[in-house]
Amino acid sequence: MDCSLVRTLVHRYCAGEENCVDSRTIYVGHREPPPGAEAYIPQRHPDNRIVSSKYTFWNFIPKNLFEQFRRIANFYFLIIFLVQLIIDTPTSPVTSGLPLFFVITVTAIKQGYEDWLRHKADNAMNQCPVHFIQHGKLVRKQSRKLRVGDIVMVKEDETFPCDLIFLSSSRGDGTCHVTTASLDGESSHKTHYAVQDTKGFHTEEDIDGLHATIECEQPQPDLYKFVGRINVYSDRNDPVVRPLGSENLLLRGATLKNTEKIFGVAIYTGMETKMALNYQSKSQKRSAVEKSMNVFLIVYLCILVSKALINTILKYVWQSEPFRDEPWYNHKTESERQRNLITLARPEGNAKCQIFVVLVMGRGNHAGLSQFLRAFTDFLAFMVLFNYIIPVSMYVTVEMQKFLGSYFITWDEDMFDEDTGEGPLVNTSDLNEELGQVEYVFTDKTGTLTENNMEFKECCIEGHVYVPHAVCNGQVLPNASGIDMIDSSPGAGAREREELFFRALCLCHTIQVKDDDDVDGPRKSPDSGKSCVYISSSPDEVALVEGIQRLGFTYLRLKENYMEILNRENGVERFELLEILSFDSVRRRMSVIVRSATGEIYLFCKGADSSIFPRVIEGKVDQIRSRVERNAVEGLRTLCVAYKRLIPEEYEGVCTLLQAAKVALQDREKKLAEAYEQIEKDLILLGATAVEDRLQEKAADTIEALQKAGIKVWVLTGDKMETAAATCYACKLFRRNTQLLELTTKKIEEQSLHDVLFELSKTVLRHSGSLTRDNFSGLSADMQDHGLIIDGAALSLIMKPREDGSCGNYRELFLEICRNCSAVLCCRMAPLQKAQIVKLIKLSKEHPITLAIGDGANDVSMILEAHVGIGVIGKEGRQAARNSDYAIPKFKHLKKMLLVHGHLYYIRISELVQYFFYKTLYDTAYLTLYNISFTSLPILLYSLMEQHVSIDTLRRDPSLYRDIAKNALLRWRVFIYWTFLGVFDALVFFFGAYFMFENTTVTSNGQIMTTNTHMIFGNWTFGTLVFTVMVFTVTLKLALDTHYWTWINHFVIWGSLLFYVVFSLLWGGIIWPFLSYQRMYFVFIQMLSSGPAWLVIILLITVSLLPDVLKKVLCRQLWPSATEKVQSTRVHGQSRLPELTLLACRRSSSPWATWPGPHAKQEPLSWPPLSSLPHSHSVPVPHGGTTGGQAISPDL
Amino acid sequence: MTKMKKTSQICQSKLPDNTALKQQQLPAYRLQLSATGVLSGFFATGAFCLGVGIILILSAKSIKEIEIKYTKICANCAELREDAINFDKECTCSIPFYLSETMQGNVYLYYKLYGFYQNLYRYILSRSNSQLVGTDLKDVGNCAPFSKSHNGTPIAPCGAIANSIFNDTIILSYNLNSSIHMEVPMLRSGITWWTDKYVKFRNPSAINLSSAFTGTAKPPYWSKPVYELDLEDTENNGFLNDDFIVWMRTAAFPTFKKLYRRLNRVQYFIEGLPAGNYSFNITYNFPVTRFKGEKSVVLSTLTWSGGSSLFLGLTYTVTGAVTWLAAFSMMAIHLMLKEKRTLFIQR
Repeated sequence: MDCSLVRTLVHRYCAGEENCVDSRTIYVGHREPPPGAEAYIPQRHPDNRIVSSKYTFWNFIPKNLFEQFRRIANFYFLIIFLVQLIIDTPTSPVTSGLPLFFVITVTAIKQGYEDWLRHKADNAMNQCPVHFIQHGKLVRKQSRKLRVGDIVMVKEDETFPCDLIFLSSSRGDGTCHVTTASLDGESSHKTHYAVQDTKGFHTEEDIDGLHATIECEQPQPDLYKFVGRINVYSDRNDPVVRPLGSENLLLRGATLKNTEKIFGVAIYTGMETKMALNYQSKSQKRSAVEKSMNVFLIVYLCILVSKALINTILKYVWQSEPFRDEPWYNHKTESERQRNLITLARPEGNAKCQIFVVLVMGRGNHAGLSQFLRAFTDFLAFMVLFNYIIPVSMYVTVEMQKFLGSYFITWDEDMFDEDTGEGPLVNTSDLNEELGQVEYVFTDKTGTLTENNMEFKECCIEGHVYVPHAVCNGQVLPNASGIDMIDSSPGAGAREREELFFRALCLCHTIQVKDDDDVDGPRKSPDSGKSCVYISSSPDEVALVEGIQRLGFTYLRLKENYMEILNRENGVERFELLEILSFDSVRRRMSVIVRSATGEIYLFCKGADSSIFPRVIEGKVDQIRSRVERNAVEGLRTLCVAYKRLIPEEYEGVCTLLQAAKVALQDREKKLAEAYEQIEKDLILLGATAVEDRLQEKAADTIEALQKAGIKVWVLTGDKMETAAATCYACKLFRRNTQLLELTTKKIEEQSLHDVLFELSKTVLRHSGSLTRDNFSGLSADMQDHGLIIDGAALSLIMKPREDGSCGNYRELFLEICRNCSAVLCCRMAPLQKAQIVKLIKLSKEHPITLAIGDGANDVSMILEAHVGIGVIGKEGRQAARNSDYAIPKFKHLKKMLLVHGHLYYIRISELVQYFFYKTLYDTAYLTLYNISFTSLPILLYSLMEQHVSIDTLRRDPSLYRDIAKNALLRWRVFIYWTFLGVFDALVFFFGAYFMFENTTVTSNGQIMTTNTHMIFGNWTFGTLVFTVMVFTVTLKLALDTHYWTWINHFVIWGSLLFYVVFSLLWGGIIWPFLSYQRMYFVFIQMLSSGPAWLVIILLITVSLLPDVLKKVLCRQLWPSATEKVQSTRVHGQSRLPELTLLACRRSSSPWATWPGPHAKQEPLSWPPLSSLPHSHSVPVPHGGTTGGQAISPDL
Repeated sequence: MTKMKKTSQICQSKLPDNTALKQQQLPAYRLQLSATGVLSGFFATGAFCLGVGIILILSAKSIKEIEIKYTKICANCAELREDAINFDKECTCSIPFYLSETMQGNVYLYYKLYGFYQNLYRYILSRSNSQLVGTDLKDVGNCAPFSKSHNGTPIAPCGAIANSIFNDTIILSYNLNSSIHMEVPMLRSGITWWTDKYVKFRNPSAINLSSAFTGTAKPPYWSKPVYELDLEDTENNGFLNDDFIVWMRTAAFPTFKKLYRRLNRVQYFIEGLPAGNYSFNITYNFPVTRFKGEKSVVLSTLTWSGGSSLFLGLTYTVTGAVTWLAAFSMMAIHLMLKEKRTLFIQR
């Protein structure tokens, strides 16, 4: 007993873990059950508050500061600043403190603002009024005050405030319609059913009289699963027990449609709702560039530490000789000597320092300790002295670059969608450059790739194909002409079959007809049948019924369990609906059992071909099968229709079978499935239908471009496998020659998971030799590429850790297979599973950069999980767009986003980072200003404006993307190159100037300049000289790296040099009254009046820029990258157009363009010229035309 | 209809501006490194460097320079100065030398110190600018430990830099023949930066200097107070003493040269220093052996390009040569590749 108590306690406190406590019990309306009912342990449930904000008013400053100082750089600068405050250093603390303060403040304000917005959103959500029943009356309360057990009333078009059990609705049949657009992305209406015994409670008073308890499972994230039961206590009788399933559950976030109002009882609230459980907390995303930036920073930190260490050691070596330590001309003060002996107290008696010393030295004044402490402070002083090696301003500049740069995305006219009037949105500017790094794209299907807009294309009855004329404007064509007979006209028997087929389609669905009673009255007149609006959980069904309508049969309504059909002769046929064997994803079919007016009982079954054909015993299977396959290849969604006639005895059997299964409390679903299995057999095949889900504009083009750019595209969808596969074909993710590998539940049932996986990996790896190099091209016809199809169930099997603990085994194998497939399709995915997949890839060995794109709320977790999340501003709410890093109006914009913006941003930011590390190396004002003003504006501008290749070229030639893949520009090699360049330049600056001063009398003589200056330069002049050279070199280097000179670039680069000169002149030319020293006074002017100084400056600049220019030119000549080739062909192409452009095209588009050396030399001759062109023409192209060909040879 | 209008208006308002800046379509010049451009650039740079280098070398060659290290020559004086007790004992030292060629034009006399760190951090800061511009003689801010004398009066000029002023006296004499020794006329003015002399250093205002400096003490190592630095020229005293100003401009490296005198081109010396026998008569005051340093005296002419060192010229020449070498090798590579490319096109 004690044990169980402890266990429940433990369980309660680890709430949120799956299945901690088996179930929860809810008293509907908080009414205690009558005595004698089962005792239960009371549980506490959270209130209905949703919290997405990070900070509160009170903890903002400490928490935000903590968050910010977790950044290495910020922490480092804080330390430096503190050290500067404590010990005596040559540089003032303001120099490093000010920028740090600036950075911290700006970031804090930005984050604070964002969090404030989140608070506002939360508040709006939590305070929106909710109607609920209290003591038989309707009360309005804020949403956050809702508790488990409250009875809530929801009106039409309102969203449910929490997860509810559906008690009753204003509709007589106890149903309601719901759209879950913001939950799982399906915009279609779904029907939910009220609990049988409570659906009669229509008014507030009634519902208050309800006395019931609900037992249900603990909250879990699966949107489609729910198990529970309700005990309804009526007077004195034993409670009636009813099972509850997901059809009784109304989820938070869903919207009530077509139903005036419903009553429901809250079972999961606040953060325990299925919606909340499906959201992952939004964590800070960091780009790969920032990560490598941090690594480089650590390297520089190491250099800094070792530098300071070496200098400290050298200092003591130096001081070991007394004539150096304290020469006669440079005595130490009394206190300094004392410091050397006892403490490091400064003569001024710096209080902080004293305290520090007292604290540290409190234990005893050991001489050794003090010696060590002295050395340590010296070390710190050196650290501070050299801290400019790590630029504070880099972070400021990077932030600014990102922030300003993101506007270019927002401003982009090409990404503006005129239909919806939406432009792209940038929610996080931190990830701009990550767009240029994507290796995996995970895309949602419905609404992202497709328009989510179904259209009936054709049907095939007994091998005869019927195509309704393209009907536009919703006009119904005359009956007969609505059918196009492609094959010979059918005989009488066929005619009968045909009508049966149409009837089957009219009957076999779960469509509701929306009654707009308030609209014009005689709407229901037979001839205006079109005006009725069909609502269904499946858009396919709507498309089918609408299509059939065009072929002459109109479904009118379901009235008192009778389905009414308007046939070709405008006569109303009535069928009694006996049973609906509803659709599920395992069976992939649905059936209805109807009784016709003549008393015959039919079973109509409609479903995916793979689930229908095995159950068919009669019919023209072969013809239909070939037609279905043809349609599937063309990317249409196909369904097969079959029927069978039931004799009354059979129907009796069916009824009992179903009833038994329906009332089963345990394993109900399994039993139902078994029953369905028994009923749906021995069917007679009627025909097949084809429905098209229109692809989004240029979706295929985009996918093709992405694949050419070396990005792997995965489609993750909650849709059926067949449909999804068809879409994949349509959008050219799978080609005709793609060998499809299936990893589905069905296959796993046949063999064990183990076998399937090994077999697949064998198939894949057989080709891997040729794949490793070629699979990127995605173009060559002879190449074998693989496409993998996996479904959610199989995935969860793979992801599930095995009992023996070797959980990683299957995952590895699975990853291996995936890596070798050019395209992967995951279907039947729950939102969290999508995220799981993304995570799996994200954490795999190569740590690729992933991008997720989706439009619905079901994609949110995936969008949050991926490195870059992109939301499509679609029809289904803005959940995805709000949670994404970027939002675009259409899928096709992804192409420009990645190939152009991503590319440019990546080039820009990598150059920026490297440049900052490069330019790191005197009077404090100069030191502060160096990084901030003299050299940072040009690079910022550069990083905003640079286009090393024109936008057009980038768009036309996706293969250029590969040049920058995998963080290519921030690899160690490049980093070391830049560092060496920096060191080399620094050496040149210093020693160049040093030797000048040492050996040459760098003086100017008065005869040329002014009469009385044969001055000798002092140390300040030396510094100024080095500094001038540095500013010029660094700026000119940038000028050399700039490929794209706009007037702004000119203005800023030359302007900053000018600014430097003017500043120096001013700084040195005037005695500034607020400065106590005038050591820079006239130094710059004096320097410029000296001839040799000019010569030195010019020489040093030349020398330090020379190696870089040389390297650039040589590399370009010998090992040009694809990008550089394109750059040069642009020039050549203009001068000698015909031959050279052809060459250029072939060079840049062929897959070996990125592999220099032997490949490039040998292969071009054996490569059939533009071999891919005919191939891409031969692929059946439902959309987009021959875009593939155009992309290859833009100039032809 | 109205609805349509409305939506189109919304569209328009949301549609981003079609400006060149926002669409990243600003008219721009693309820097194209074409082969001929790069090569000609390299050749031009190389030619320029070579040219400048040769001119520099030639001009440096034309410069005459004589440097005499006198620490060892005046070893006895150096030894005497080793010990601070002997500060008041005078020690002179004569260094004869022979000038084989005439030094034409302006001739400058420098002293040069080896191993003297004028760039030590504490040293550089050890001065009081408000004292030196004559505003507040009592302000001895950073000068410790040379801020106050034993009896507490502030030192003027205070600080380590001023205290350690180079105080040797160097007199150049021309030995026309064995009997006639004449002192070479030297100017002690015009050796400082104009701004230093006229802006950065000012004497406190008073009727005469000595009264202006009452209430201050001389730096401990000085033998004379600051207003008696130049007994011949009263204007060259106090903080405005040229030698003092030159010393106060701290050098960047431990080995440095500072201008001491320039030749007054009169009489015999109207053309410069004629060839012949000379001698330096040095009053040896400045101790260098204590910090293991050395001192020397330098006589030099100057051209527009500075001193006598070949370094700058050589560097220019080498840079030019390297540039040309690179340019040639690049040209070779370019031609090779071009051949290959045309071959490829022909096939």
